[in-house]
Amino acid sequence: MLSEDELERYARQTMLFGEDGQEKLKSSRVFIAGAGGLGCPVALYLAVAGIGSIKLVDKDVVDTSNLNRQVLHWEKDVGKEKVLSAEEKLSAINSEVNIEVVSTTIDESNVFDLVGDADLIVDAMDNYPIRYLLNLVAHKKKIPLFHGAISGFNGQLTTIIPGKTPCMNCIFPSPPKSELFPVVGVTAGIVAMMQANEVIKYILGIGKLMTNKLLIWDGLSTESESLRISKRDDCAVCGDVS
Amino acid sequence: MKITMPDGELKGKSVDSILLEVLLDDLDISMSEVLVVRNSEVIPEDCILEDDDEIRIIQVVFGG
Ligand SMILES: [Zn+2]
Repeated sequence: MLSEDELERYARQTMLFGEDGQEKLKSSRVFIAGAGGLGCPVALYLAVAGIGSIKLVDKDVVDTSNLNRQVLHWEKDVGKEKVLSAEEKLSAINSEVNIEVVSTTIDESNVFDLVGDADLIVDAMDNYPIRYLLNLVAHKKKIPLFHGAISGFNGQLTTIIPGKTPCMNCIFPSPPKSELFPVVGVTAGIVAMMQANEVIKYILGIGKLMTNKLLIWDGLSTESESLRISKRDDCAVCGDVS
Repeated sequence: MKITMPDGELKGKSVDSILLEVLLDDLDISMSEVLVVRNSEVIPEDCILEDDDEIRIIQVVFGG
């Protein structure tokens, strides 16, 4: 049941999808991998939307060079663990949300337990090796993975539903090298908002998801395009998931 | 074949038919760094391209 406070807080949303829809958001558990450029705005907007439980994992501490895009981290937070900085802001903006944070590096040994009983995974990472791990766990647990990535003015996005769509390994069979990447904060914001939008639609069961397509965002021309993507029959991850 | 490179440069190349993997090698492009698009579809490295194909090579982004 939604409290009186919640009914007031979410009034503009219940106009859209009813109290039932808001209850669905409230009973959802979201795992966000990364509290950086994508993770901050994704977490912020899912928190204000009233997602019941958000688990955020990141190993880094806030650096001054993060402040152009990682909007949950402020000048006073430089030197602080990112997840603690994020937790403070998320709790302050919506105390109804259960925020759980873990300051660690996601790796093969811990990823399955970290994701735990989450209903879905948001990929807000900055490298492909961990994206592949998230992809693997999403398929083992049969929960969706919301992929986003950014560089400069460019971004990409897709929603992966195990058994229904190509997976990360189908689309990106080998990892591009990860290095220091240039980026403007707005690119992170735009791609993160599309990821958060996908998450909300998935939970509510409304609209059309960005599935079987890879969205490419070009901020310099203010254009996006949706490219068709296909499963690889021999994919080691999703080949036998139905 | 018409090729749009990641930086937008247009290239022409005459081929009978060529494996995408081989074409990228010729262009000195690593498959892991790019997506290759034909008719709005991402195509795999074992795809065979013909002379009348138009492809676009776009950079994979990795940041987050
Ligand atoms: Zn796959």
